[in-house]
Amino acid sequence: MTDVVLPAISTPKPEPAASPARFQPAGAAHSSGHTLPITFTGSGSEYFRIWVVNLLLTVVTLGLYIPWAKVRRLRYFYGNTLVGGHALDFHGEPRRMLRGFLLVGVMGIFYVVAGKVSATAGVVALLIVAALWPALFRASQQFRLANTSWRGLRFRFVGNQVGAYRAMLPLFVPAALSLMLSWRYDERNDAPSASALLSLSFLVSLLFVPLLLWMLKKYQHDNLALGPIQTRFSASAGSYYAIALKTLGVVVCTFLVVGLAVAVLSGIGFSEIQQRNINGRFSTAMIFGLLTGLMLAYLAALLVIQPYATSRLQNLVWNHTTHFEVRFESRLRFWKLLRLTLKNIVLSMVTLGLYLPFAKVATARLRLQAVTVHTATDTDAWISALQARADDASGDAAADFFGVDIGL
Amino acid sequence: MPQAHPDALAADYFDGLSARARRVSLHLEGSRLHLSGDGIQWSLPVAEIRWPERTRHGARKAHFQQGGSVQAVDAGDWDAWARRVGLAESVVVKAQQSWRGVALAVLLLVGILAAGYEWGVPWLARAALVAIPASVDRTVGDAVLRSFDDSLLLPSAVSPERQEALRSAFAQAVARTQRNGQPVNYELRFQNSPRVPSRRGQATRLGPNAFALPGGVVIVSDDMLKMLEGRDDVLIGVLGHELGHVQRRHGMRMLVQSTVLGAVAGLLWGDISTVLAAAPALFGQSAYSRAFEREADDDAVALLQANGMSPAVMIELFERLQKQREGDAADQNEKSASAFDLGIALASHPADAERIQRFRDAAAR
Repeated sequence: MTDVVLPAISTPKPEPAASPARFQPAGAAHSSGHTLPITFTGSGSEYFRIWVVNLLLTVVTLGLYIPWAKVRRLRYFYGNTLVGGHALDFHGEPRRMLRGFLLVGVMGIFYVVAGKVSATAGVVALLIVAALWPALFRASQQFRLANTSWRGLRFRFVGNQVGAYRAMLPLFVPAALSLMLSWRYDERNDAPSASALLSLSFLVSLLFVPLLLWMLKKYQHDNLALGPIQTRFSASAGSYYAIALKTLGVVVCTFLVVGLAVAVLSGIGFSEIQQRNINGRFSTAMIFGLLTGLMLAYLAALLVIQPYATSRLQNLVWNHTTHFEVRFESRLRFWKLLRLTLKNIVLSMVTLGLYLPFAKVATARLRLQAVTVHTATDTDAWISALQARADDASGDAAADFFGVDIGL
Repeated sequence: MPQAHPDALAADYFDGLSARARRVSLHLEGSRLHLSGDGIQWSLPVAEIRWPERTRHGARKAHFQQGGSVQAVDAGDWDAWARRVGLAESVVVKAQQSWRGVALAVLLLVGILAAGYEWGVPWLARAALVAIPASVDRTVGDAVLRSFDDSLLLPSAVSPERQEALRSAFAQAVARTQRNGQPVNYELRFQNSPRVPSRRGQATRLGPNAFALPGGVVIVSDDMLKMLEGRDDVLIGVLGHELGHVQRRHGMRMLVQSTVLGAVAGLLWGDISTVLAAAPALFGQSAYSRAFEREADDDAVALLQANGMSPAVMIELFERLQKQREGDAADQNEKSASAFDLGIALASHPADAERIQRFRDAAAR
């Protein structure tokens, strides 16, 4: 769940910009005086060293070191993310975060164990986790942003509790309905129609996924704040469905193209075999070739999903996160991300995971540097006028107390 | 105005209230840090500052407890200054910044993971089971049983008399192995299984099979009884093997071990892809499973020997299983069906040849 709900580590934090009226549409020319470029200066080999030592300490302490490791990693990534030449910074206290980490960890263990002991216990645990999750999600957003700064100013997350629960309705409503359905049918023990109905309700809940993602993103990006600036999220739910459909299309196309290519190639191979051999071995070769072809096509389709959806979503989200003083522009290319993802996966597999930190740094660089911040007025003037609000320090104490920081 | 201190460092000061940077000069005096320049002239105790860690790339920022921060103008200058004025550096930072430290960390990590896999996880599972009451085993086993429903298990077609005879024969055999007099809780169930389409028209879902669930339910398929007809001694061995699983709580141990393995694999590889992280976990789990099978085979040997039977009778089981498989394969005119058998790395049981050898060795001893 955390994967879906939370922004990736490399998601840039919002940056302020300057002031007059409205912005020109994306793509219009900007003078550099109105632009804050984002650069990422992290190095794979250096993050590798940080990662290995973090991992060792995490294993030795049976996981208790995780908050410290996280703070070190975040400080490295934030400290290497320069917005207009100034690095972001992370202020989280590992000791506080340990509290939140243990809280979420205990919840997770309780949930897994309950699910394995009995179905009823699993459902009860699910209900409890579901009831708490939106509040935890909000606390996590508050904590992360309140502990992120740029030029000495802390960010804020100003979303309220009701909003968090409302944002998760597209998850809860279909889930609750299918749970109720399964209960009713359990009583009647009407096995075939019950399972058909269940799969139907599962498909229906799938239809709500883009809406869920949109509502969560809207909740997040309507409530990002720095000083007097609070962003709006202007993307529509329809655009999320459009991306979902396009992703589906790209996946199907990839599957067909790769499948066809393998079929043609193996077809040539089969006729060779057939000429030389008699039917016994032929059928084996054919089944084997068919399976390999299917597998390849399936893998290829699986591989494109993530880079395609990530690039389209990042561009959509940041190009539609606005304020009349600040605007973001994201131009993340699908092909570049796909190439990088393939390289990362292959090298990570070959090195049994040792390449992973290099992969993370490379991905962060590609994704962050695709984003620029535009200010409506001259950036220098805008920056020198940017002030924290008087109430900035209050409001986040509760979130800070528990130190909940879910996700990466 | 700021007098040039010999050990001063240029930095940008942010007060936390505005985005404006103010160029100041830092110097340490005793246990206090002094800031001066751009209208600022103050000092604060070093203990109230959160210092940055040395990295090759990235910004250096020190946070003040009462708000505000300073950022290095040049990271290299900052590090040199920190070293000069004697700011301490943690062991972790030193290790991170030296390739020798990192190499040591890699070696330690690999060693710990290997030892953890070999001894740590099995030990952990055994320790955890001491704390988990046997009633939990039963609950888990019941849940598994319920999930089977009619699609896998049907009432046995074997006569109740024969079932009873087997039960009491096995109970007697078990009683002879019990030295400490502690009774084993198990429940022997004979079950048929739904037919699946096959040209010979004999195949069932389960085939000749026997398995143990957590909590002590041992299920033997009718096909297994049919296959071992006339060889009750082999059947005792098979049941002894399953009883071994029950006594050693292998099902529950597997639950714990696979959970731990999955968590560690997720920690190590989860970021590449959750699918890929599942692969090492699966390999590891299969290896644990094969170790359990060997333990259970030893239990079968012990049971047979305690009843004056040779462990070598178990060889008959593998021969009959093999014959059955060949029959199926010939039946479907697909000699190469075994080409798609899972490799040994993924198999839940050791290879037949190894297990036969094990029983043969036990018989020779």
